[in-house]
Amino acid sequence: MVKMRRRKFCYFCENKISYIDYKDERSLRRFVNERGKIIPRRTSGNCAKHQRALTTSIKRARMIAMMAFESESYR
Amino acid sequence: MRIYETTFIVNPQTDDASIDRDVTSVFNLITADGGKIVYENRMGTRRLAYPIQKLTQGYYTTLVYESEPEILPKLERHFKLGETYMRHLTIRFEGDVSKLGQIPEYGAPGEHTRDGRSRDDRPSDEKGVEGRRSEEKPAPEATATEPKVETETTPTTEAPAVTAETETTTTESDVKQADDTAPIATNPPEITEEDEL
Repeated sequence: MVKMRRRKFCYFCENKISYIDYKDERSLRRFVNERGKIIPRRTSGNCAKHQRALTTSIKRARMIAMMAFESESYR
Repeated sequence: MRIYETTFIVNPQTDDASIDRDVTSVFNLITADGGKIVYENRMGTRRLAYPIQKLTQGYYTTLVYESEPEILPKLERHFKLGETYMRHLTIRFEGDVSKLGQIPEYGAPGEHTRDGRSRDDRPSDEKGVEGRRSEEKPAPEATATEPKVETETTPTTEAPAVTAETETTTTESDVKQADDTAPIATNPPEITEEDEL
């Protein structure tokens, strides 16, 4: 049980992604729940820097209709 | 001179020639002002995440260009006057210009890109079903898929058959989904801990 609670690590730090593109809707989708809400840092394990960049990217994607603002069953 | 990135959506219900005219008029506006287009990507007609002007599809174009800031109000005016422009978004480009050709997969080395593609290859219905299933019981799946990781790496290098390839993509996505759900599964105990504190 203790082993399962491994330290979560920032996805973007792990994969060395410096720029989060708002057009890359496919990879943004994993940081959004079924309703289209942005998953909080405490759940996703992202670092503050990347979470900030991620939120702006998701919000931009919403503006140009690449992601939904809200949805009954997204994904 | 600054680097900007503009993405805009043109109404796809007009004929191809007028779509092209709308897109090139934006090009011309930028270049006429001494701007230099660094990158263009006509993504074509794609589904919108929500309807705009009662349409469910739109013709997407992305431009990255170097220009003086004076271009922005002109572009803005152009987009507002042209009735076929459904949406537009201009941002200061902060990414790496040299990586531009790899859009939309860029910024995504290794595992990340592969996951994105393999997930997209499957029909959307299937994604939804599988996603929900894995959320319900993430723990057994995580353990079940782990041995697959080892087997998966060897066949990809030597398997030329199409069937083998499709097999590997499915295992990849399975593994990824297990990864996805793992943090969610671990989360509840942590929250309770915080509450106690």
